Amino acid sequence: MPTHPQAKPNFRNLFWYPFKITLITALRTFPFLGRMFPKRLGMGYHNTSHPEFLDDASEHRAKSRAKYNDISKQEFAPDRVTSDLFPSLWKPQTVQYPYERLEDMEPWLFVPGNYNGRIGVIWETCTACKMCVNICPNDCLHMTTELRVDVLDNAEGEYEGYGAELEVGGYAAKFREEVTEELESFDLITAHSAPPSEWRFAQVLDLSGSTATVRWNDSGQEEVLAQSELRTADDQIVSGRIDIGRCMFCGLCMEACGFTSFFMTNEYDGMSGFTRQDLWFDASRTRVLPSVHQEAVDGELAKRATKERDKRAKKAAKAAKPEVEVAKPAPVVEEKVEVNAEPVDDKPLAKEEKKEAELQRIKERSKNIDFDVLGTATAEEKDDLKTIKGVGPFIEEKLNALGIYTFSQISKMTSELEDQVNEAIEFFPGRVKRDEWANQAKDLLDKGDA
Amino acid sequence: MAQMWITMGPQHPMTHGLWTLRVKVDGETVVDTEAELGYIHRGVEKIAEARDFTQVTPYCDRLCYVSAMTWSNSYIYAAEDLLEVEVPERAEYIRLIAAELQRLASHLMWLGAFGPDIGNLTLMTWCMRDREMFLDLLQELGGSRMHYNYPRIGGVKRDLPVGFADRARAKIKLFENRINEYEMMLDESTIWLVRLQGVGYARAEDMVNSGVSGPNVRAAGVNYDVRWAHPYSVYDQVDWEPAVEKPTSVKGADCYDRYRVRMEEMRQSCRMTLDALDKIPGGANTHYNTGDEMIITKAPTRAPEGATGFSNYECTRGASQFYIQGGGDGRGKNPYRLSIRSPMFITIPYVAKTMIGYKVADIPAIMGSFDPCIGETDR
Amino acid sequence: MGMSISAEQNAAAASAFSEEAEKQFGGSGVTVCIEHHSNAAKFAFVRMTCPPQHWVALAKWLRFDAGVNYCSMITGTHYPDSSERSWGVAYHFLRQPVRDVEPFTADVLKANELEGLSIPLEVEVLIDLPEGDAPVVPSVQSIWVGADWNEKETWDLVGIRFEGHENMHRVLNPHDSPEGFHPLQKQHNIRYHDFNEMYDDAQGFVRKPADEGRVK
Repeated sequence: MPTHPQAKPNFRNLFWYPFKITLITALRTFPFLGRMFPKRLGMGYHNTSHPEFLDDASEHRAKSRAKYNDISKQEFAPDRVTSDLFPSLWKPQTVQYPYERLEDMEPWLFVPGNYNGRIGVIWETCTACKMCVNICPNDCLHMTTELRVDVLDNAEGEYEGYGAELEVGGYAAKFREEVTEELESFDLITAHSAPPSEWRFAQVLDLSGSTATVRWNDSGQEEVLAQSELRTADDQIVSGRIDIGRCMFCGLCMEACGFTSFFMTNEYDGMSGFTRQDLWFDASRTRVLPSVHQEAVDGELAKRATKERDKRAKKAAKAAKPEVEVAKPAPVVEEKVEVNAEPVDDKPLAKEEKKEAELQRIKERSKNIDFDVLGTATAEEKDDLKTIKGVGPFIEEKLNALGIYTFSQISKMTSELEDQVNEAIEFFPGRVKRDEWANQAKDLLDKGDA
Repeated sequence: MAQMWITMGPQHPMTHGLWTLRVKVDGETVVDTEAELGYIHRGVEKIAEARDFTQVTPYCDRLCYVSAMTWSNSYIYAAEDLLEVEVPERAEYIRLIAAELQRLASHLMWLGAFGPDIGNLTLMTWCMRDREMFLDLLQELGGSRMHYNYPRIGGVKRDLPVGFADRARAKIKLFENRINEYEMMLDESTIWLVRLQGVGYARAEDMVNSGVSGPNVRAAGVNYDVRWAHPYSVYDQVDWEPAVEKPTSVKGADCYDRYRVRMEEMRQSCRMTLDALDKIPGGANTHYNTGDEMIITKAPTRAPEGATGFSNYECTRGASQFYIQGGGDGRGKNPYRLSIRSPMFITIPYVAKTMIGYKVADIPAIMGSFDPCIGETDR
Repeated sequence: MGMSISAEQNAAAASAFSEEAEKQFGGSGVTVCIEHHSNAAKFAFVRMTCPPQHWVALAKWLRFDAGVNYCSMITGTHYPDSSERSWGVAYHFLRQPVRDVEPFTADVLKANELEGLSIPLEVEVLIDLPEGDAPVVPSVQSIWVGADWNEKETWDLVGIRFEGHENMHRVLNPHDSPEGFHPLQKQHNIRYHDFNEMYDDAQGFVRKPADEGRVK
């Protein structure tokens, strides 16, 4: 075969290139030279800075973690031999995972928020609709649900009315008197069988006045009962299990849930085990950090609480009328409800309009709040209320609609005012107290002054 | 000398995947070859008959795992043909950007595997380092570095993240200089030139008759590309040209031409992505919520019996096609038959025949230059 | 700006092609029609149906006279429940304007300058096979080299025999698959093996005693 012109021995290939490369490598080991001549010494992308895709947040994050992550910045490492003279020579290039992480050492790397990582489920807001189970291509999700009577649905006393109500197409349960005796003498610890079921479940076919027509689940027969004999029942989630070993992290389950209960967190750790059973994640292993998803959860729960409040308002309005009118056909009752009850519109509103209506309602409630204690403020003086943990942009808007703009107003909230404000902004009951907004605001004020 | 069959068995560092290439050698010269495929036949076509249209998308990512975005795009176009769905323009731009970034990542993977085949181990490290940049971009878009499950019937899953455009532009600018570095290293390297030039000739008409398409054919001097010949998405609105190389012999294109075509394609992909980011409707810095009509339209989920959908798509390795027949289980929720045409399935036997007449040492060069990916071959 | 074949070119190509095909094969059981895609640019393509006995003649005409030089996909389908047909083979072809070029030159096609037989076109040929357990279609292996492995795959997965195909062998299934085992036929159902139904231990090494010695 004819020889290639560049195959003959030549000075460039045999001396010049090797010399250049060796010189560059030798000079690179001195970090001060590497920082002074980054382009020429071939330092790029790793272990240097790239201002064009480095933003403030990443830089701040890298700087704050630097002393934990970058070994060359640590003064004393008891588990390895370090040289004082040339720490860069002895510094291992390996990222010592899990003690160091690459995205902490290289500030422009980050695991994006929408990374399909470990599955996290907020079991509190899970409604057991099984959409995630249906859409999983690999059959990874198993959910067991059961018809149950929720204690909250049927509470009496101060918690009355927090639960759901009987509705047509839903389920109902009747207490079985015949098992009370057996239940009283039943010892769960020594028994060999399950306790007898104390409820008999049925599907609600029709509600009218104070009676309900139901079809019993066990016999299929229909019967008309008084509503007072029935309790609400619903399909509730008993246990769930996600087989991470089979999961392909496609994210379809996250989409099917409508983003309210099922997430894929951006964590990529914590999914290892020694057996395949270790990879069956139950509720405890699918915890999501509440701080990360709190606003979503609160929004969802507030939405449901609002729905319940509206339903209760309708029920109260219906009960407030004389008995005669109840017998009238449904459309007339609806009309009257609109006039008497709070201005709640049943028609589906656009998101914007709903928001506007909510803010309007809150504005009207501001007369109930004692501003002598809180102090008044105007929109010009407003602080960034979002700094308080538990306050997001929408909550801030609602607080502003109520007339609360500054930290000093929040810090002056008494226990009673906290409850009033909580209710006024239609937030989940008790949340303002639990998150200690007043204390947080006091701390922020102190920090601001100091 | 006696001739003997050597098995470059299913596990072999240079075959770029799990397949057997049996070569009959006479001394050092290859006299005959036989290709055996099917080692990673996962039955995607059969699985798809038991899945919803939305559930099939993650399986299509896994067909060619190196080039996942292009394969799921290809399936989605066929599903949209079947279900008759309109796609908003912004979604088409986003799909284009995703596909071109994926093309960059895939060609870098190819180069990163091809270099060591020829002996240039440095290329593996350089290409993997640069591929990381694009994998990070795709990770931001799709949620994982390899199997994104990103396009949806009627649009895309979510919009470009905040800051994506700036990061993409910065990385592409950085990468365009890197292509120059690669060419500097490779085109002045004796070993590279000697091993690639004059080896593995393939003529254009032969290739087309055998079912080879894509950059392999463009290396032989004809700039046929599915993106303009059977247009889809918004390729006619962004600035680009199909990369084509002049073949150096009457015998057709050699390995060096195929390598050069892919370097040019990387440049064109960079150009296309930058242009698409400038021209995307709604602006590259706006972020629309998931489910917004700018990025996805609601699609029907059932297809009646007798309906068919067909897509012709330029995947990284050639023209891929999906043919879906509707009317499957679940009263039409599942496809009745999903048929996948993989360019590599046809190219690999062709490559096996191309090797005849060359030396054993040329086998990895020829095989690598055609860029085999066995995931899509075996489905 | 990127170039692309325009809708007019595509429509012209499709109608010219279908006219020619009608002239050649009209009335012999071969039907030709122009369909439109519903995706992408909504282009036209030519769909032909052909009885198996005329297939080789049609294939030769497609390849040598109509310039359809690229056999891309052969799909076999099993329709056990359908009344009209029991098996179907769908061939997809492309007409590509690719010709050999002189060394050191390149044929840089410009989309808007293509005309006549140079306009890329998609052609689909559907062959329906009647009732029976042994569907047979004449092979076009000698006409397009690209049909070779596609036919092997169709036989391997679906079970449709191609008459005249040399060296037919299993290509995706293992070589020692049982005779008559063609997975894509509808009587085979996908089963999902939960791992605790397959294995006796938690790590997944020991098969259940009833499944001793089984592979799957």
